[in-house]
Amino acid sequence: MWTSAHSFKPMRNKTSIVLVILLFIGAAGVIRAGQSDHVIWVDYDFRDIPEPKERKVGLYDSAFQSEFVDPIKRGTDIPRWVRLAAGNPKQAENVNALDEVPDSSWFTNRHALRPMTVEQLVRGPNRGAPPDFTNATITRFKEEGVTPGLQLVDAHGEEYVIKFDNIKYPDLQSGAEVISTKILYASGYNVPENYIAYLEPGKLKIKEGLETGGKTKHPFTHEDLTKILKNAARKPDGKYRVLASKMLKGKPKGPFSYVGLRTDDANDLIAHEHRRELRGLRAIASWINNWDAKDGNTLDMYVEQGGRKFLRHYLIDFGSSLGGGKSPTEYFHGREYAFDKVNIIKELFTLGLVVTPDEKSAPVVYPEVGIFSAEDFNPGDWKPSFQSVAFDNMTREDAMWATRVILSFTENELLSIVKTAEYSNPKATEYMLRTLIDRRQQIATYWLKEGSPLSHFAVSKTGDGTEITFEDLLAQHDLASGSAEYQYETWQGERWSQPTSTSKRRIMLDMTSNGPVKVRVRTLREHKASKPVVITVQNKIAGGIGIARIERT
Amino acid sequence: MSTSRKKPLLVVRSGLIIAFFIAVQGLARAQQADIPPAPKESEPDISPSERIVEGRPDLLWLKRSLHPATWLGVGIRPILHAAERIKLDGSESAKPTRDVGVKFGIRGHGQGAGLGPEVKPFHRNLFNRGIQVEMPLSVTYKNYQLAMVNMKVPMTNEVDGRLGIELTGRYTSRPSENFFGIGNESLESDRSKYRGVMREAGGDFVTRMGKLSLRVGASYRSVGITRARRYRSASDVFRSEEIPGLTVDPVSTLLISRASVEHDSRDNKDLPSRGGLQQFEVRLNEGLTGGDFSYWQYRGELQQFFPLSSEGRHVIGVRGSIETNQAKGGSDVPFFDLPTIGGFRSVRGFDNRRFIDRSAMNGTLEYRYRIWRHFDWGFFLDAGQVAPEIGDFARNRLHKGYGMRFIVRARENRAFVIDMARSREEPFKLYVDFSPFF
Repeated sequence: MWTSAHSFKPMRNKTSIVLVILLFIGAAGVIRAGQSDHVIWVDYDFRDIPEPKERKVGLYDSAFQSEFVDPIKRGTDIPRWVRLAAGNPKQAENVNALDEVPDSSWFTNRHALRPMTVEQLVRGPNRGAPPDFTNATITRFKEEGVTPGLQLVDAHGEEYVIKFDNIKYPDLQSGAEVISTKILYASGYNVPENYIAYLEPGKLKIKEGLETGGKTKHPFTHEDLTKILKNAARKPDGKYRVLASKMLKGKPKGPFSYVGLRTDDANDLIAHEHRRELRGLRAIASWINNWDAKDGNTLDMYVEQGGRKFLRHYLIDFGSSLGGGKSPTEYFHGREYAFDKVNIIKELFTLGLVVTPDEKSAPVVYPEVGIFSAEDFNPGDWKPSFQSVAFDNMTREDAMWATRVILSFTENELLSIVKTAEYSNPKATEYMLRTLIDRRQQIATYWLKEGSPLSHFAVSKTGDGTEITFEDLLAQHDLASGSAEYQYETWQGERWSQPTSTSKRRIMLDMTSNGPVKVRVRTLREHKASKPVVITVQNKIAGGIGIARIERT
Repeated sequence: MSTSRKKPLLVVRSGLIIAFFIAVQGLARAQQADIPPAPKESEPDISPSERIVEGRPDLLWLKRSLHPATWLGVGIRPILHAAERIKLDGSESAKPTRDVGVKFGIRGHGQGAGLGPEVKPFHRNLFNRGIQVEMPLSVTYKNYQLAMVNMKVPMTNEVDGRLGIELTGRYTSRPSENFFGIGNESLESDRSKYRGVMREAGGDFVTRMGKLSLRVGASYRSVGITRARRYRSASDVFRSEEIPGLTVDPVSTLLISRASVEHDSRDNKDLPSRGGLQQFEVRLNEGLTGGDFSYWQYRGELQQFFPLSSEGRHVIGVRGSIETNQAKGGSDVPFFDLPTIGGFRSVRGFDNRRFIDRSAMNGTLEYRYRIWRHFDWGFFLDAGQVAPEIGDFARNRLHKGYGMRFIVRARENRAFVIDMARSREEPFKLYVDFSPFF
């Protein structure tokens, strides 16, 4: 009934005005947001979810699915072939308007976007006090295999998984694990706290009731401990140098898969093979030769934070990276799949005359480093042990993103990270650093030449007008000889302007109109033009000017 | 009345709230557009925000579940999980070696006998004297049976037992053995079957000196030949007086004395890539009952492997074997003890036991190469013949077979082989062997 409309007419008028103003502002904001391609910096997948079941993986997941089921599916994915034939592969889905990966339960932008100090890089994921194994208690043990393992509770009550180095290769596995942990953490991934620590088995306590001996069980004793440590490396002072990996917070829910979604995680909206941080991990893994990147070396933890419970996704176990492992990494790792169908067919039809990586070997330069070198390294042809759809999906754009992450480490920063391995041989430290730098240069040269080397775009108003500045990663890292020209065009209503060239990494813009301005920049080097980068610049509502979008094609 | 008055108010307030929300969202979005990310070194400062995608991909699960590869995975997954549980990969080798126990496995019973489960109780240190005993029991799906007792008694304290005695007791039942008649030109159309039951007990004195080993021993054997159950019987096709041993008297007993010498320089017994094997054995068989059997058996075997690369990834292998039986006086050699060719231990591409006579020879030339860490591929050429005497062998009487082989190299260089062969009689013959001898 609107019979008494008169009584609230004034209010209605005022309300209407407010409403109209608000709607106008809101609409304007939305329109602007639409124009500016709203930049998302946090993909909020931290919502409270019911506790998922633990995912079990085994031979099927690590071998059969990755080697047979997934390749068959990819081979019969007609739209994918059409996209590839058209030179337009499916791009990663979790990329924001600035061609970056937003923070999520998978990834946190760190060194590449938010430069870390050397102290932060050296600390990596480690929090709180380092482990104190004086009078630590053994709660579990593993006696099978080349090197044993223990589970300890330290003096602070923290639980650690302890890995020992092979007596023949001291520092090898533990050093690789610590360096890769720091690199992957600074790159943005969730990794466990891994420490180099020193143990005196005689001082360890044994948890009451711990038994060994299979069917003929008896209490686990220090004699049993001595037996299982017979193949473990020890220092001249009799202590065992170990890798202590702190148990992750939360409840383990099994590994994540590099393909598909986790159905019992309502936060998981993006198929993992289309997550840029997992696609780009291929380039980062190639840098540190983490060939054992597979489902089994990941872990989902059901964590509680801010009253919400959700899954956080971790990469774990990097002991096989950087030429390491229980023994030095075999030559073929990183150069062919564990079951490389193409090479098998080549061998078969050439009567074994073709020489595949499996037939080659490389010398162990230092026992601490194993087989890790920059020679005979092809970044574009690097392969993990088990095929990964996410890695196979890596596009040039994903690789360039990963390259920007890799290039964010300076030589001094890498040296600080390598030193955390505490190699007893200083030459091993030097060799590891040099190899990392050489491999990094190769990766950057390969991927940046595929796309555009331009990065770190910034826009500002100066006395002369609006200025875009940027960096040329090939020039900055001495990866290209000769000088470069930067050819740019601006979008003027309906067409691109005439190209203008400059040798400076600075472009002046005419921002007299209120609308966004697009600038397309190519690098001209040795008479070759790179792929373009398109930057959209626009005025902010709150004043000032900013970059609304970066497109690398 | 009051309700109706409140309605427009409610609508307006709702509109206000929505407009406010849109305005805030719009403003927030516009301002966020190029705000650099706040430094978050430790745990991310989480505040509710939006997602980068609206929801899960449309019909993703339907698309995936409809794909035949998904069904393949669904079928294979439980099998692989089961395989992991029972550790078919041999990972039990990491466990400490036990002296007493029972092993379970799968065993083949030779040519054409099929595969079956095996239970093998064992003791590796009986009476604390290093005596090794094992008792394999096995039945294949073709009802071939085996029950056996092996005992190795070392006579020295050395681990590898340079001197020792080996005692063996064995029962085998082979219900469907091929028989085509005797001679190098026996007809395929004469195919028949017989059942052989054999019981044997014996002992050998063994001495090893590096790669050389000598063996001297004796055994008692009883062999019963009866009708095959599911095929036309050999006794229906051939006259028993033409085939020694194919008699109405079902059991022949023999006393066997033997001596052999072996030189084995192969780098690996299952899948050698270098070295060779030379064997020579002589046996004297004296029939006790069931026929006038008294004969000498002479057997020789030669294998040599030539690696074409340092790691033995490319290997040429040659093999030759010869056997002849010489009857003593006017005695006979029973057909069940005559050498044969045909089958995966002689000339592949022919039926098992295809040709049989008092003397037989065969040879193999093989090129084998690595196609993967655990796979080898090979091509082979087999040739062989049988004859009454060695002097009757002739080049133009050779039966030839050729083919390819796929070798799976399991742990500790154990092998599993699939041979695909053809000959003039069989266009395609498949052999699966869990313990290849060459």
